[in-house]
Amino acid sequence: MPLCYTLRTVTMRNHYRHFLFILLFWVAGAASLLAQKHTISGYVSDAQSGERLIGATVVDRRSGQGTTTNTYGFFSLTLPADSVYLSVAYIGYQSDGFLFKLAQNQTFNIGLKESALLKEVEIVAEKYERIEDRAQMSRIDIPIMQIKRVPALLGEVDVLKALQLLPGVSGGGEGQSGLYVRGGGPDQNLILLDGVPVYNASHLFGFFSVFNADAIKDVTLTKGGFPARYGGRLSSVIEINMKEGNENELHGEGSIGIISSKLTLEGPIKKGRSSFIVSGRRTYIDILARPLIKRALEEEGSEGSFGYYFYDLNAKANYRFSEKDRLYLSFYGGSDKFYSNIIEKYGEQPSYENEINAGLGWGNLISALRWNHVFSPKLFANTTLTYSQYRFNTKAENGDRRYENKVLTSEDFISIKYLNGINDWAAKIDFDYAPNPKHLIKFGASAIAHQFNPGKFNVKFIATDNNQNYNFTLNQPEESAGEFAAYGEDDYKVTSRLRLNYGLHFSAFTPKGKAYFSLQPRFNVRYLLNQGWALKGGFSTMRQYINLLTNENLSLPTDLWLPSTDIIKPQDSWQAAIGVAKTFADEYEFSVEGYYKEMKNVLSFREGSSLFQFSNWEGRVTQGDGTAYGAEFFVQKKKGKFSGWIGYTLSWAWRQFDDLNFGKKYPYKFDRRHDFEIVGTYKLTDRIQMSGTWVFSTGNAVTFPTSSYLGQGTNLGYVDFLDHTPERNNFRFPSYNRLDFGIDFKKQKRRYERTWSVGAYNAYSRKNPFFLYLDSTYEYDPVTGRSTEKKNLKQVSLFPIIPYISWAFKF
Amino acid sequence: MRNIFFLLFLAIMLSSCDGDPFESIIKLDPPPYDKKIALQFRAGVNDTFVDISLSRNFGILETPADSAFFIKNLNIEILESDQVLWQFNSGNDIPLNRATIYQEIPHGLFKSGKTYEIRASHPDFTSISAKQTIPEAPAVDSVRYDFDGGINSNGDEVSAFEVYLNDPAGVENFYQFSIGIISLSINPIYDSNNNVIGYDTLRYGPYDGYFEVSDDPNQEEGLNGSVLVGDQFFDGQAQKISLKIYKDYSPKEYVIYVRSITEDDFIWQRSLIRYEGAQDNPLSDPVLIYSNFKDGIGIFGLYNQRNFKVN
Repeated sequence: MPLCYTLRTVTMRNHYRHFLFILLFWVAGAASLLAQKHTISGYVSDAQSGERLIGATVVDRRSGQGTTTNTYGFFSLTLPADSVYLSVAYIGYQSDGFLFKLAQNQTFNIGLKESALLKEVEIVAEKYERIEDRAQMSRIDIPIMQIKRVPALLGEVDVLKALQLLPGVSGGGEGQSGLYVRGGGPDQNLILLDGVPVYNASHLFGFFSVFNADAIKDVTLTKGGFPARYGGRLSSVIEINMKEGNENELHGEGSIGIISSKLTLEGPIKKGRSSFIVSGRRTYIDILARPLIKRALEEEGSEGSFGYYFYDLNAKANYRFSEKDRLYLSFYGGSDKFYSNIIEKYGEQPSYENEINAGLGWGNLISALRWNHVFSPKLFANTTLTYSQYRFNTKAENGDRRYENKVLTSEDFISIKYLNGINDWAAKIDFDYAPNPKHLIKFGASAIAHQFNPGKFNVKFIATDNNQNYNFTLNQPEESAGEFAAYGEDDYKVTSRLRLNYGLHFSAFTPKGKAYFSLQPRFNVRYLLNQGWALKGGFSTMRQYINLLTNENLSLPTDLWLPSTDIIKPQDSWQAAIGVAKTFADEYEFSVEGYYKEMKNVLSFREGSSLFQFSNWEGRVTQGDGTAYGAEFFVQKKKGKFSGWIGYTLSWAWRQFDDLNFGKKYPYKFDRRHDFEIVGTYKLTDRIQMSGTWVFSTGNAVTFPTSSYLGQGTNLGYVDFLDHTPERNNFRFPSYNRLDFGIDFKKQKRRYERTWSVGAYNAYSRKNPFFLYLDSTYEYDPVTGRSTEKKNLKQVSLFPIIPYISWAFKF
Repeated sequence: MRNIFFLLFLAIMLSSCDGDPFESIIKLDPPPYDKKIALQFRAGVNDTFVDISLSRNFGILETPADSAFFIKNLNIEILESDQVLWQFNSGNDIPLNRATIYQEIPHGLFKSGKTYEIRASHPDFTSISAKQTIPEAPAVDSVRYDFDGGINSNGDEVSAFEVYLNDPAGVENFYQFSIGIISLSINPIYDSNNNVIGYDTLRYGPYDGYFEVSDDPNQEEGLNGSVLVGDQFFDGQAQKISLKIYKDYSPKEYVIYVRSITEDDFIWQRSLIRYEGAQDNPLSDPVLIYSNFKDGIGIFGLYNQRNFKVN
């Protein structure tokens, strides 16, 4: 046996032993505290729809002990055998209370009724436990109702763009839905839809995200202090949970907007036992423009069509087999397509035909099968099987044909097709174990089989006159890798003031001919100071095994996910954060956090390299380090007619690569010294509601030459103008600022409720930068007969004021 | 109230239709710059002539006449241990190609293993300087030529040159490989009546040839069709460098030039190649051209070259 293998095995065994020891220690320690206690467990759901409520608080008012429901609405609370006054609360719902004698384990499935007084965003109140209660920091939950009220580009509600309005999160370029969290890159965000990774979360080159807000129940962003259950990305975890569907009645909602329409239906399959939800969205500019395109082509003597559309389809069904078992099946399919097929005909006898056929398509396909099982009142398990696929394909075909008497006599045809993508098959199991009110232990394991297709070209060439027929395929070899993880964490209420969340995350990755292992400690602490102030601290290490080759300017669908290899090392980071939090007057949530993050082996293209090159991808990239630090201020008002938040981030983000900028540290492209955002919603009357956002941020850093000189170029003897750029990202875009606003007019009709929404993106038409370029013009002087060159640095702005209008219904 | 909102919305709709709704161009101030001397001076141990490119820089939006770039009366000095070995003044005449002077230097000015400093000064500019140590001559055991060098990735026949290097250990070494082609031509000899009365072999060159792009991870494209090699993957070891050219069936002689170059020259050449490659690719990440001058722009690069004739 090779020595290195033996050493690795021993090291692995030690890791496993250490990990199991800690798990057993927790379980044994917690179990010793169980004497004379009984457990209340069950689910909290919406009484009308049966939709499980995530994060509802369940508290025994007598002892003050409490918990919150998990992602599946399940709770478990172990209390001394005594009288209990159980209070259950959730935002927008009437609280419920139960007084009883706890003499044995009890199951409570609690249905909360929606409150007439607390409806919708009039009060977007405390849906989750208070910010100062939880140990975890750097986590923000935004109610989907609030996201739906944020004014959006062309009225298209966008979950990811709403997240850009939070402190510590930056968007990419103008109108883009990319996320850059605490100085991290766009590939460092783990976006989970019902627990399944989404690899490309954007439509239309990043101007819209793939998430249809009508099908979404809940969104949570974690940007630091990661609990041990998360892994695989360095900078953030975005959990998006789909609705489950109404268990009791058929309901629907839909909207017709400027660029797309949506329809959602939900209802029972078997009343009270199973339900479904189906939600679809499609753009229709291609359909509306089709007659115009057809006429324009006919005027040019051609026929055919071209256009663009995207669509999403979300579907989910669940079935409750018993009080202990429930099965969920969820599906997401979405795709973007550009297409063009134009045929030009000319000549009579013989006749000729030229056909150009081109297309570009990309999309995600995601499915998940989940099984919830309650092993005991204290032990809840969720087992998940998932499949996630992302594909990009493009084709270009050109055919020249000659016909005599309508019989094909010769043909020249060339076709080029390209395909890349990633497939994941995964299995995971997660346990929630609540031995007593002081501990909530989570542990689990997962395995993912990745299959990467870095690029496949197919070229076909036919020339019948020359009797040529070629058909060949050029492949960058497919790569497979296994990714494994196991974790254990404990949320431990040590005293009424001190609360900890600590754990370990273990991961392994096995690309071809290599194995990587990592043990990542996680730790969060909260200490309650006087007058309700909470002092919080967090430390986490993360490792990322898969990498995105991307263009930083645009979210191109050509973005390519690739594994770490023996040459490309996994990315690593550690992050420490400290902060204070407090809720004022039961309405204003306030937090300040300072953070410091270091990243190793982050990826960038080598200078002069880009996506569209056919050389080996490992040779086109280079790895380096990143550093980010800053402070985030956040005030959120959750109650009253007016709700919203103000966020401010002061931050620095740096990169250092041996192969870039001649090894010197330079500011990251999305290094933004100041980032400020205000989001507000105001309920004017029962039927009219207004909302607005204003954002300001320091401009992106870009590399731009400062001067030029004459010097020898790459061919000896030739002198040329060369640009002098003192360092990478030496110049800044002008600052970015924008105001959006929207107004909803709501009316209850006999059978449904309708809403007209109008608003504007970039209301004062600020010319925000999209890119810069150097423009040369020549002015001719008729007197001297000479032309003089004039150069200007110009900025292209994409969106002036963009109004929107949409009509929505709900029944 | 509703009518007011409707009118407001209508006004916004109409106002957004002014001009091009999705693109507007505004003018920006350029990034600031400092006026500097830009100098390119690269020479070898046995060279008796050197190309010196000298220029000043202008702001990215300035459009002066080409003649304004050349710096007249620029003083250039080569020093060893603060002793001036050679000096030169660019004079008042602007060279034909606007920037490059082909200048004689004393034979033996640069010696292997020695460290030299270059200084350039002019009353209107901040003086610039750079230092370089000439590397030892490349340790080449042999160079072999294989007329039938196989097939390249495009299916074309190639000829191959194999250079056997003995890389010195413990120091970073950088190499540049170039090829000179000595062309032979068999020409007929005519009499006064234009009859062929014999044949003569004429010899042309050498002129510079181009190596093919290689997939060897040690190799990178250098200036003028040359190949650059760093020893990071074979430090202190014997290494075969395989260089390929398109197969040419007409008789030829070749000279393989093997240079030990300085790290600065290696980085500069690589950056210049990447810079020019990125000019045609709008999606490419931007490229900076390396400079090793203090307070200036450009390159001071020294090399030690050996020549190997093969046929």
